[in-house]
Amino acid sequence: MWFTIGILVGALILGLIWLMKRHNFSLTWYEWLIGAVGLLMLLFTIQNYFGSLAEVEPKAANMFLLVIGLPGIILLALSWQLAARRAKKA
Amino acid sequence: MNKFHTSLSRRDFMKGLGLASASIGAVAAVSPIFHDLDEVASADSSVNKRPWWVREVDKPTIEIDWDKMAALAIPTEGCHLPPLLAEFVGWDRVNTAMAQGQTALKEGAQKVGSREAISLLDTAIQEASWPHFLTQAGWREPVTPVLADPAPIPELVGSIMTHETLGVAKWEGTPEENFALLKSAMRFFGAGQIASIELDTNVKKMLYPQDASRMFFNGPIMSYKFEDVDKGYMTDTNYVIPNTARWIVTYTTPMPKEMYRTAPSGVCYAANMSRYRLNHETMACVQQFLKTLGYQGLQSAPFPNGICPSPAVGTLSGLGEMDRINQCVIPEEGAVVGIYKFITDLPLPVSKPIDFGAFRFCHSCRKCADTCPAKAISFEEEPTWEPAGPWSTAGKRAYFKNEPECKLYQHSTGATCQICTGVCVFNVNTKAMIHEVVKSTLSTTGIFNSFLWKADVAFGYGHHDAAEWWDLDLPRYGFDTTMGVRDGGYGK
Repeated sequence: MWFTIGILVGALILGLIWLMKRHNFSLTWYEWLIGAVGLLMLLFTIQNYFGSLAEVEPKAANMFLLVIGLPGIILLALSWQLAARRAKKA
Repeated sequence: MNKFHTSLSRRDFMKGLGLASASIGAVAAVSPIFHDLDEVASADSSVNKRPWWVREVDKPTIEIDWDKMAALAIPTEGCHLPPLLAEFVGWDRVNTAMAQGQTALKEGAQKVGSREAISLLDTAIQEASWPHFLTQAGWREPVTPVLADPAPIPELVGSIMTHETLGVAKWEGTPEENFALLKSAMRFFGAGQIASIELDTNVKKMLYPQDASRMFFNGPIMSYKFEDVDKGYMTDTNYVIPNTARWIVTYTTPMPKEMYRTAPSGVCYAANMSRYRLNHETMACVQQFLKTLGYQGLQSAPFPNGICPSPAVGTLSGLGEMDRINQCVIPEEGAVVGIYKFITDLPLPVSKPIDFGAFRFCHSCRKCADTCPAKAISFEEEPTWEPAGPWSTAGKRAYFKNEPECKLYQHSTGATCQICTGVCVFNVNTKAMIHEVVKSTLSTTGIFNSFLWKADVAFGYGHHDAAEWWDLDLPRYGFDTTMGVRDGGYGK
């Protein structure tokens, strides 16, 4: 599973860089930071969600979605919105 | 464009939906519905999950003709026993082959210190691996039953080879070498973590003068004695330990965490008892292994405590740390573990105690105390030097437990309690990454301890329903046997 996730994440990051170059756009350091933290939290959630299900701990699995997964998605969305609104203004 | 796009009409889409619904309906119709455990137990093999590349077929892949099938008169199929083998090849050939084997073993044993395929060490683990059904783990050395009739090859059948029968000196190695060999052998025999300490004057202060394990069978209380003798022995009233036996080997016998999480229940009780059964086999094998090498492993009984409190020597030897339950919690195995020890004259190194933050964590965590129905576990923030009662060993600053109340409640359940052990935060499994993060954190700093145990409760770790256990597809013996495995491989 992690092999596939690694390829997907790598492809997404490469795609992002390719898009940025194509549109002559760059992310600020804090947008990178917020996005990276959000992505790490999302990956951490995925591992612990499926890990907890394998441990027969469904409540723990759902708590990971809520406590770490949701903030991770919010951070990713925040990074995206910061970049999108800055691009719109420009 | 057709190469890159498929065109799907609304009619086809609705048709597909209809087919999918019909499929789901059909699957639901033929899926078994279980109303109770008896129905589950009598269900077909579909509950026995196998890898996807294993297919169920109507006939075995080997052809069978039932008209020609007939049972043999006696089980000669594998020619396992010499008399059965002799039926087909004659005693001369059997005797010759087995005499050649004896010669190979004796010649191999001459290679002092060798780990080769035929050597004293190799023979020791070979001999130790099969006599568990012939011997009884206990204070006495393994006993080989006397055969009623003369065996066709007396020196082979019913006998156990030792360094003496092989005509060589006993095994000699450095303490470190000995420990490494013993660890490998004991893991094979069923032990988990293994450590050793010296039986010095301080440790001797913890030894009970008397052994109570025979009280399980209304037997007499035995006394422990140390004497200047070569071998330990037993009389009707005493277990005698040779003064040359200066080492205590401590080890764990894993137990099923998933069963403990159902406490109080019969399922949990079965898990609790499994350690005695497993240790019985482990210890019988260890004793034979040491005997072949020329040493002794002395363990008074497989039942509780033996010669001294197991958590005490477990902690001193570095198997784990003391906890709020007043037991020893193991970093790799948690609280759901049986701790055993035996005394040996095999020279061994002295293991150091360990600190993985467990005892410090117990200062904050009260999960076991909160869940104890008998309120027998201390709620105090700090451990104390004052024993909870005369049943406890003084001389340690610990969380003492009200053992009589604990045991009374256990007896009253009809099974066992063990809730405290089952819900302990250190019992987590290893699949989710969070456990490694938490263990690393609490081993490094104690400032998150209070938050972490509350998070453990909030995330729902701890008690499970006993009924759920019957539906789980667990590893053999019910516990994770992959300790020592690193990233799917084996360490050195």
